[in-house]
Amino acid sequence: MALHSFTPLTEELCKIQQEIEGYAQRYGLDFYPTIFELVDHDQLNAIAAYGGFPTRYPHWRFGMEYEQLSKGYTYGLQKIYELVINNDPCYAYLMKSNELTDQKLVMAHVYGHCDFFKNNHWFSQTNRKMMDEMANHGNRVRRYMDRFGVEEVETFIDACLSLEDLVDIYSPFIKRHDGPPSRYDFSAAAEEDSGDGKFKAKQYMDRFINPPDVLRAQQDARREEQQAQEQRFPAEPQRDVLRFLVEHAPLKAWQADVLSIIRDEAYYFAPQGQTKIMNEGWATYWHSTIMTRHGLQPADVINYADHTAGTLATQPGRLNPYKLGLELFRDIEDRWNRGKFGREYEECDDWRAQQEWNTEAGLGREKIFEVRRVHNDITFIDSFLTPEFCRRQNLFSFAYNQQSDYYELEGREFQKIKQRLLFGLTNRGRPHIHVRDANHKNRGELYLGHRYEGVELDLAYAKDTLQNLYSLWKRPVHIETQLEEDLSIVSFDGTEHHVTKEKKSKESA
Amino acid sequence: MNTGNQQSEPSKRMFHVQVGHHQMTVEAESRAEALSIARRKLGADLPRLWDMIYDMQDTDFDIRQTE
Repeated sequence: MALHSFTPLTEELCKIQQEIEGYAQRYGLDFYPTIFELVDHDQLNAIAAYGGFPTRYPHWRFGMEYEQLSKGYTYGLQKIYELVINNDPCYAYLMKSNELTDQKLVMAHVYGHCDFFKNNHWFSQTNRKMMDEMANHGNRVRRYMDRFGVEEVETFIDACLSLEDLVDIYSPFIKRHDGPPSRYDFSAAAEEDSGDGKFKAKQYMDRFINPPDVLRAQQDARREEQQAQEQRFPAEPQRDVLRFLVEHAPLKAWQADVLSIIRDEAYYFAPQGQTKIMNEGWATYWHSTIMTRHGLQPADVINYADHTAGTLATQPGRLNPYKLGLELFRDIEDRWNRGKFGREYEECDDWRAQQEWNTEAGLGREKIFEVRRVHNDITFIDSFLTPEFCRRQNLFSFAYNQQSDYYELEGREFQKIKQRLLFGLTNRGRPHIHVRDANHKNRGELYLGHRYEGVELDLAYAKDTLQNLYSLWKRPVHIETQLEEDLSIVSFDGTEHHVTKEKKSKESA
Repeated sequence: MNTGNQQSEPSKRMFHVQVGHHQMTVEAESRAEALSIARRKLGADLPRLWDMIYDMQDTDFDIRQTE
């Protein structure tokens, strides 16, 4: 795989790039400088297998993905049209064999993505020099492989990768941990002294308003709770399991470094999972707008329509992020253009008046730019998916009500659809797992908790993950979850797994 | 009965408005109103082109009174 012998753009493609970039800028898209590279299908498959980066750390899984993509391409099952990296500058790849219409389409699509990467808040904390960082990660891992052996390092990476989802995707935006307390900060100690829980009272009433025995009992309970809090480790459940392992697992220096590499990369890729529908919808919106208004020549129309139809086709029962995102952006634009928002509109109970609502507000474009700046998929769907939209997009159907002799919108069904969509997107569809106790039973065992939300953990996966976790923690590991409506603890002690039913959750204990 | 102050209903006229391949007939009191109604109708029919329709100059529309 010769990844570094990319061909520069042809003169014709350079002109097209300038033209499309000009349109994108005129529409107000704001992006980092974008560099297009021309690659053949084999190179593109190799880069795609590496997650879009030309250099990554060596690992067998990338080879496996490359094989899968290559076979898919050879058998005509799949073809990658575009690949773009969130980086400053943005890198995007064009397939040499694509026709000129496709190259235009891909360029317009890429500028949509680049604008999204730069301006969406959820990407604001990502490393914009990830291209260099990934290469740096590769060098570090290669050095460890030279020193400690490929087998040992790769086996360790396998264990880490099975845990890579156990990060706290909101932590870049929330300060969950205070730094170490200042040695000159005595506020906690002062609070401890003054916290007697007394109500204000006149001296002669004090004995009745603040009975000494009640006060004493309260103080004891407070002290006990404080001691328990101090003894608990971690003091509060930790969602960022990888960070906890980097800081507290008995790892060698190189292992901690490899784990932190996996964690860094997991955080870099997280916003792409959080904004898949929006990001693809936004890019498709802009390629569609630019191509249909400016980019298309009469000869290109059939080819363009064919490929766009392929991208936007929705198979029954499956969610197409391109289609859903695009249609939602168009719906928002139309609603804000016609002033179909706000209290007056929401409270209008005349169906026809609502359908024909038009205050000529003309705020559509402004609104979609605002939406792309602040939302992620969950808030996007939660805020803008309406029953009307669901009906138009066939996300659910009308039902005939025999009593009223009307075809009626199934309101509950809409809620169900929305809930199901949101549920699939919450935590990117992964289970919520956190570290509860790193000194379980005072034996240094690791105790994790799984927040049960109606879907059980897949036991086969849970057992394998526990095994991998054990290889990092080096002491027995447990996870508390719910299996068949019983609170259960799945454990791995280094030799075998146990599943025990519990009566009471540790959290509620 | 004094009817001298009563204002009579302004008469509506039919206008033919054309822009590009799109054409429509609208009922309005004046050319300006006909243009405004046409923009509105086009905006509703072609929501993806709303910005273009509202950014177009008045002179881009061909307006002719039909009666």
